[in-house]
Amino acid sequence: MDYFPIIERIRAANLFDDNFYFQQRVSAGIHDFDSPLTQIEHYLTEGYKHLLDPCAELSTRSYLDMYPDVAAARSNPLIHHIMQDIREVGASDIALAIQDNGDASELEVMRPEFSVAYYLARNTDVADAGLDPLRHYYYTGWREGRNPNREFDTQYYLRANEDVRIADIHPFWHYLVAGRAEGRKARPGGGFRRQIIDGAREPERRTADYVRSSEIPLSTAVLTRLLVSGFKDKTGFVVSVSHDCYTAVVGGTQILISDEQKLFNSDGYGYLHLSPKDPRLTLAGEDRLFMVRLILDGELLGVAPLDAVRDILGKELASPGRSIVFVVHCILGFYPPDLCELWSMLKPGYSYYWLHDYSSVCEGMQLLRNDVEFCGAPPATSLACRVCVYGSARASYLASLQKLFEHCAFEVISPSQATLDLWRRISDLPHQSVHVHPHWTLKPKPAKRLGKGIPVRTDKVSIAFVGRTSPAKGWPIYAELAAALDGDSRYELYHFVDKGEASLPGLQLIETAVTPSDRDATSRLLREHGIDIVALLSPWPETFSFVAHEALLAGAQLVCLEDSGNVAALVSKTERGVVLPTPEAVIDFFTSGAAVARLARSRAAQRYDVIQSGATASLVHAGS
Amino acid sequence: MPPVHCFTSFTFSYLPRAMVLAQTLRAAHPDWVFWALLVDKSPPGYDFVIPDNLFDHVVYFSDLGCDRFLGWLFKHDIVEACTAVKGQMLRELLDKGATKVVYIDPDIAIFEPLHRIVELLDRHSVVLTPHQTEPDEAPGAIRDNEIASLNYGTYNLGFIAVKNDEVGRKFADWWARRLYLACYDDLPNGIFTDQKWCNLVPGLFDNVYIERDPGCNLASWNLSTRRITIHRDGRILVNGSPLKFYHFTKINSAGDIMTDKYARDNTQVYEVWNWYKRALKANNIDGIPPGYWHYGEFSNGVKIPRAARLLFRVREDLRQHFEDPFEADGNSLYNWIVREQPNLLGN
Repeated sequence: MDYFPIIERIRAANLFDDNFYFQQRVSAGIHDFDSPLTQIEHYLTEGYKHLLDPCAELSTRSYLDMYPDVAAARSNPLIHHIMQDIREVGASDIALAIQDNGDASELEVMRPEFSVAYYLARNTDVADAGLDPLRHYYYTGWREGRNPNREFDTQYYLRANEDVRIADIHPFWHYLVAGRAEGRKARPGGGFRRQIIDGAREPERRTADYVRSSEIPLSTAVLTRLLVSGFKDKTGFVVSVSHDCYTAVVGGTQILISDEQKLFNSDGYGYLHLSPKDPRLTLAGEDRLFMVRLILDGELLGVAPLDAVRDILGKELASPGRSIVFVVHCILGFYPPDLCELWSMLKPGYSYYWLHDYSSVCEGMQLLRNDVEFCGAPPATSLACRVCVYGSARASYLASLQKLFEHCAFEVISPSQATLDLWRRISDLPHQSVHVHPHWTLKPKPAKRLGKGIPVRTDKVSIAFVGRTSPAKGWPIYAELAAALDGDSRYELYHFVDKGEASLPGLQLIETAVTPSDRDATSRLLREHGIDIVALLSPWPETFSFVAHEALLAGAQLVCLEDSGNVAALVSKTERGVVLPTPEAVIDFFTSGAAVARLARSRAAQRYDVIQSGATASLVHAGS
Repeated sequence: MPPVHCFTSFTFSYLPRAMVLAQTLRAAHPDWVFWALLVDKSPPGYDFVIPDNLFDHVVYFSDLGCDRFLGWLFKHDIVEACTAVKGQMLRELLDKGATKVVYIDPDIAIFEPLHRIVELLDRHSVVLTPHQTEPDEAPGAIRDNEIASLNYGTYNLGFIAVKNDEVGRKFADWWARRLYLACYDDLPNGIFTDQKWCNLVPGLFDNVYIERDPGCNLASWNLSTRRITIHRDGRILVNGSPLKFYHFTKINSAGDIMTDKYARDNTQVYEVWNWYKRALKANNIDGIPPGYWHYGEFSNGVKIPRAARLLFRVREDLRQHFEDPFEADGNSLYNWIVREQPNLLGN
């Protein structure tokens, strides 16, 4: 432990009396003749905790009474006294003089490695107050856990270096003058992956704080009237289930269900959608009062017990000759035996299970072990599953799914061949048949319309991330990329995201909102902003990816990871982008300039027409 | 084939750790006979029931017939005590006829079956695992790992396997007697608990095997030269060898820092480390006060300072006079300290 600079300053200020201190230790019975510590070292590490005084003129107890923040932080008062801003402390003249000299020297040590831009971007209160950022960090910012640049983690350094913490030495200054040369680390190991791993939670804990709805359920009489009148004169009806309410939540699957409902309606079918009243990321347990939210033909009916819904559907509506379709878009939030009973009551002519995600294989529906890495869906009894937040309940989860699939005789529908290929490798759930049914199909426009004559652009390459700051979408990798390209004049970085969502300083933020009524919002904005590359960095096998299709529609190229499923397959098929093995390779692709070279060769946009499928409705139509 | 007997030694505050060990050991070796050796007494109001039959036998060290038990135990702090009893328990199990005995620390979890260890005992009498099996190069790592092993012992005694043959019995008897003599954290005198004695084992005894499999006894002290990989077939490997057992030493305290220091970008280590933290939480038991140890206090509830233990260790007269040094009433060691050495109690 290097106390020397501190001790030197305390000595120079004549603020420590060895004999005076030793007598206190003897009186207090805490002397130890074998201790290797000098008297002043003992005070700095231990003595102040016993409220011993460093000299007759300074009272530790009085100082701590005067500065409760120092007491609360269990900081050493003498070091605090020496290091503090002179205006705050009001110390002796000699101490002030030393402190001024010391501050100036320490500030100059920090200045070359302190990032003003970083500090002001992340500490808007400092910027708003017009404070000098370096002095703010030096005097108070580090005690508040703020960081001087993106490389140095103040709280980590104090946590990892007990000697620095105990001696109350400024951590960044210590790192620069000593710690770095000693091999001490500036931040935790593991980078963005570590942050994801440390943030991973078991699925039941992730939804523990969801607000439970207190809606009053529909009475059986009202529910019967609504359903009977809703399905009156219909040639058939559809009961579909998914984990949330597709009219209230915006997302790819939800828009798809909306399309599906409209197409079924146009074919003369009634369409009833059920989702758990209180969504969750796990299966539900047995609950005879389990409540579902009902949407009939796009209109919210309310909430009701699933038992009541099932009984009404069975008794009032299921009559011979009527076409009945049962569709599972997502199983999460339901108790599978409930769905078995519903299926038995409906006796549907068609039963579909969609592979929008991998919730038929694991509660971790993206197959990301601890949210960080594609796991390959190993056996539930494997060690990989043991150490995963989704692993402990997986065996019983799969047993539930097995019973559901045995009961319902599903036709399994995959939105991509890549997903189906993977699903067949990792799942042995029984099923009637499998189909690949893409939500969209891109059809290249004829070559004569390829933008012939467009000059090769030589301005900056524009890179975009589309969507929320979710690890499953690869946001942490994009954030790493943004940091690596900070100040790189070859690139402009964008973030296209819904209004109100988080982002990063330094990115060009473009608000976008795809809705059923404005399906083209993202591709239109990508095109308007001349985006060259969409970084679609999902680390898991995406089953379809509307964003990938929107990027291609906008004329952009894709950069993706090997494990991105249908995204990588789409890149391979269209040759519009690159597939890279690791996040590090993605960053290298840009920092090395390979991205610029690639764009110089093929910046002119390929154009596509999009053919929408209509999801389950087109399948039923084709089969009828 | 006679079953392997396995034991661990702990106090009630480590019961959640011992339960994770038991669960993972049961998964790997449902046929092993697992013994819990408790160097403790139940906290007041806590009725200890073997959780889910994780342990086949629960033995309180106080029932093991240790000579002058209380006076001997008083000389040890919690770590010293839990390690000092290992030799006597090993000897006891061998005396009972166990053919193969494995000791495992409570803060270890088992990942793969230890078949190779069992097979090694067909040919060897004692199996030890070194703290390090590859040299470090960085100065800091040499200090933290190799020099630490020079101080604290070459072999990690979180694990030892012993065969019930002549050499194994001789080793067990020697170890039990040495630990009865001096199982202390006393580095200036060359002693560190039960562990440093075992530096002598390859020299004193024939047929000792040093297991250098990187999948054994993975811990912060060898992470600098070992790398965990988690594979899509579900296996966890360490330098290419299946992970057998991980020693989660000092988790939630200094172990976190040392693991961070040496795992760095081997993020799979944090996945395993975090799993163990979750497992401990899942096995948390209400009713055991944090840091509880029955033998950590005098009978009046006053914490026994280490200085008092050290004094008792060197004062034969006090040991002769106070047969139960934990007693606080009457003519007791406690009252003697209050009268003669009050500074030991911090007064």
